[in-house]
Amino acid sequence: MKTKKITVDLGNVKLTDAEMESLLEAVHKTVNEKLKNSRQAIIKKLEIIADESSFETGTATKTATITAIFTNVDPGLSSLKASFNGATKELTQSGTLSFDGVASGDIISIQGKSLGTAEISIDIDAIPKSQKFKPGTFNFDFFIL
Amino acid sequence: MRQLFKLIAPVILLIVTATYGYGQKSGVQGLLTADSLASGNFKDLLTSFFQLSFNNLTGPKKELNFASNPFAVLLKSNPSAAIDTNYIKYKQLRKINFGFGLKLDSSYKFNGFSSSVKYALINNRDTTTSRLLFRELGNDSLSIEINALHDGLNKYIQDSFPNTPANFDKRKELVLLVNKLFTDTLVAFNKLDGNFQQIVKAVAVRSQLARFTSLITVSPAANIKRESEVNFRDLKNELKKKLLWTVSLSDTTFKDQFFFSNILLKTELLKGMGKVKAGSNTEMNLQAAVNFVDDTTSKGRDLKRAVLASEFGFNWVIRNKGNDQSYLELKFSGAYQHIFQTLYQNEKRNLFTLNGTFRVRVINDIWLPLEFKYDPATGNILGFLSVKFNFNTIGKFNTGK
Repeated sequence: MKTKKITVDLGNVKLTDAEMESLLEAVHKTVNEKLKNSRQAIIKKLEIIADESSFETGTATKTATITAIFTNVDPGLSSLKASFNGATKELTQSGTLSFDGVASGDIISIQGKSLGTAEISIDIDAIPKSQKFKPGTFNFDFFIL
Repeated sequence: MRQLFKLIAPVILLIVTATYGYGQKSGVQGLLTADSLASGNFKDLLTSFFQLSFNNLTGPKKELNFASNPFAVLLKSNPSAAIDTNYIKYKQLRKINFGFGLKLDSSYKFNGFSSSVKYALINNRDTTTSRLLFRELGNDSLSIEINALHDGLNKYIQDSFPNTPANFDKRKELVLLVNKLFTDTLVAFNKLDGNFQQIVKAVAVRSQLARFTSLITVSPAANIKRESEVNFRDLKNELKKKLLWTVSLSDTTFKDQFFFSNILLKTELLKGMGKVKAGSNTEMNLQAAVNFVDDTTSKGRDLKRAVLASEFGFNWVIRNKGNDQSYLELKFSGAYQHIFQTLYQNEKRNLFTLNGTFRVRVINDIWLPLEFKYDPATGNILGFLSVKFNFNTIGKFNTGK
């Protein structure tokens, strides 16, 4: 039975019980693997794990709102499908749609068509921030930064 | 003979100018709207934005005319009128043209004002309101396969590089390449990143995208976005055959008094004929007008002279195969005129002429129509040269681009 303990300062990161359990499991596994290494090496690894946990648990998750503006066309003669994490939302005229739980590194896929020009933009940091198309079909992705 | 040469020489010059001008520009691909692809004949019938024309420059009755669409004027002060939810409210406004102009005599002296209003009873050529076109758009096999390829590529990224910090840069790189593949109109497929090309090919094969696979195999330099645009252009070609029918009322005042010297009621019909091919199409043009004009032989000012005029012809539109823009149009028609009230001395009550119009697009917005009239009874040939500026957008009109 081991008696020594280590403490990891998670700062402002808020974790659910499941996330905390997952993090502890990862820490124990890493410590067991690297126990033979030097003290410095263990500390470094722990820092990396802490960083990754912070990233994966989505401290930066947010709601992404996509706005589509169709011009020089009647309503109903445009179509936009936005897909994120298996969910698809659709517009048939100018308007907005939103996805919750969007994190850095996520991809929102856009497909559609219009008899007018289409300008599609997103309200969070992404590449591209907005994209304009002349009449016809369009396909592209928003990559969330 | 000399008269005939005077008429033919400008035509040859115009054709050479237009051919040279388009030859120089064939590699340039600007933003082509449905309006910029309309024939000059169509624009003379119904302008979507603005048309400034100098008519009959070589004839005795010269005209400087400005025609516009009230919706275009509205857009200038309220650009949000173009947004689809507003656009539909102005359906009737978009069907109207209004115009005004100055009449000049052979010495370019002022000879009266003119004004006109035109309404499109039927305009089945409007690509912005066609439900048929919308249904067809995206239903072709290439568009369906492009959507499937897009889904397949995103699945590949998700499966191969889950969203972890370590994969952030790779996912970003792949998304940028996906966007380049689907939105860039300049980069050929075989000029994209080599590894990405292999990924696309593998996804296409796995998803059984036969047409796409065939396209990049047969034409590795193909650009996917441009292929989609060509598909849409082909669909729009079918609309060029649809009917446009207008009615108009125009008038001219005397030069020294606000009293009508001429009132014209006119109806005009334009309908595509036969199969629309890449590079050319043919339109049937039918016009009928009743003209009430001042009887210059009697004292006072009245509108006692009445003339019925009709014309039936075909307009052959020759287009640039690269961008589908019309650059040369040849119109041949037969015209019949009947004076049913107040016939002048030595004037024929019925007149039949054979007409021809060569319409040349010198640069994007400028057309030079040269009109011929041949009277088989007298053997006389008359020619009239005009210049027409067709502005496609408000921005161009403002900035002169």
